Amino acid sequence: MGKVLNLRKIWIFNVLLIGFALGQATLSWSIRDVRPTLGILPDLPQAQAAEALAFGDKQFLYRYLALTLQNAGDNGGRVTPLKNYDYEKVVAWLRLLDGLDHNSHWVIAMANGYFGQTQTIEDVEPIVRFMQDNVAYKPELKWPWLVNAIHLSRHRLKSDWLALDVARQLATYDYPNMNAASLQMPALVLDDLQQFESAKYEIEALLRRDDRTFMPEEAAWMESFVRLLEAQGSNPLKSR
Amino acid sequence: MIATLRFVLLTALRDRLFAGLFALVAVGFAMAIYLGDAALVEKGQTTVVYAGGAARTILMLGLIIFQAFHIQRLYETREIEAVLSRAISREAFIVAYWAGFALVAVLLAAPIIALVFLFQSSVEGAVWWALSLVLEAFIVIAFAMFAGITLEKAVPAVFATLGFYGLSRLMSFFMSISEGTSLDGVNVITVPLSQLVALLVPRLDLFAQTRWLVYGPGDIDSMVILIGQAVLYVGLLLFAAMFDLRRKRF
Repeated sequence: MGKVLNLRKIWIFNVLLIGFALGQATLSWSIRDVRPTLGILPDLPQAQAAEALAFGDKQFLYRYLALTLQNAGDNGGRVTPLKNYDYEKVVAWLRLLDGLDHNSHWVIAMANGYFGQTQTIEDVEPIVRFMQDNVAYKPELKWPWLVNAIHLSRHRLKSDWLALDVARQLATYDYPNMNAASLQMPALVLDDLQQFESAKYEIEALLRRDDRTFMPEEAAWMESFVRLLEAQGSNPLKSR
Repeated sequence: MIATLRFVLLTALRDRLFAGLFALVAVGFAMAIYLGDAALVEKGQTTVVYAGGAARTILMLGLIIFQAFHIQRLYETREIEAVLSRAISREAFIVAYWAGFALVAVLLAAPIIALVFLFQSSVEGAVWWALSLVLEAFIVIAFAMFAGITLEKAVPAVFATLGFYGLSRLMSFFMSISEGTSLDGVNVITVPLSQLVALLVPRLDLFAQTRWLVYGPGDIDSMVILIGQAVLYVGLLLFAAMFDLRRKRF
């Protein structure tokens, strides 16, 4: 009799086991369409919250958040076109990361090579402005990025005036590894803007500098450029 | 002393601390290489930062958990009474045990440091990182031992040490908040309180900075401060543990 009761009890447990398994399967089936809401960019942590998140290691947090930003929108089996990003938020993220590490090239590389390639052309301007600010913190390390910023301004945004602003910032720096072309950049952009007198003034000012020695070829090219600007009164590069 | 060092080392081997921790560190390094390679630029720097940060966290957690359970077992098996019944003073017991745990920490840190050296961008920075990692481990094991001896049970000792570790790593954050806060309302109490806590808690955020692995070390004065901090705080905790052990009756 006792054995019969035990068998009955075991059967009850087995039935309950199958019942719970079926219940779980039914629940899972009924909520199969419930998906996590995936935003494009996560909300921005405040600067102080970011410091707390760093847990005493800002560099680790910087690398972690930079990878988060780089992959934002392109996870969970989806790819988000750049035109769908909120660029105000993108730039806020870039500035937060810049505050965590001024030396790294990762953020400015992302700004230039990734976010700067957006299909929404007007969103390129805040990216260029960010690049200017980022370089200003560590110009000795990052001045070459301004050449990229000039390229973005001229050829993506089609704004020679913004390009001129960036070129002027570039020309204010003077590091031994900067070539003459970097310093001539404002004149070249002014030439595109048909501002020949100003372009000539920029080049002449460069030639007069006694704190900088140009190679004979560089000096010769600048002199010939001045002559062309004087003689033609029009775009000398195009008429050559 | 040598017997105690051997005992702690054998316990670490028996508990498979070395095997478990190295397996975790290997997984951490593999993840670091994978994630670092996903970076748009600075792949090497990103890898070494992920690897260094992950290895530090794994090392500290491993040491804290091992120590807490080791000391709990000392009490449960009454091994501590057997040890203290021999010709060893309670003060010498504390120092010998800390030295044993420190030896385990150095043996655990050595291969981690060797791996980090493979990925580093700055040799000097990696030397600083390695030295300060060991100093940080010395402070953490001193606190874990103090908590273990005082609380006698593993779970509260782990929680206490994790709390201490978190607080020490976040001390600069608390200091920056208290400095930028006006003294009104509840801040009248919290600001001086945080300043008082800051006097008693070491600045572990200054140790094992992964930025050194990328950009090189800071000035030599900061390393002198770290060494001084480690000497002072390990001394403080060891004397506190001695004080507590002297008051215990077995």
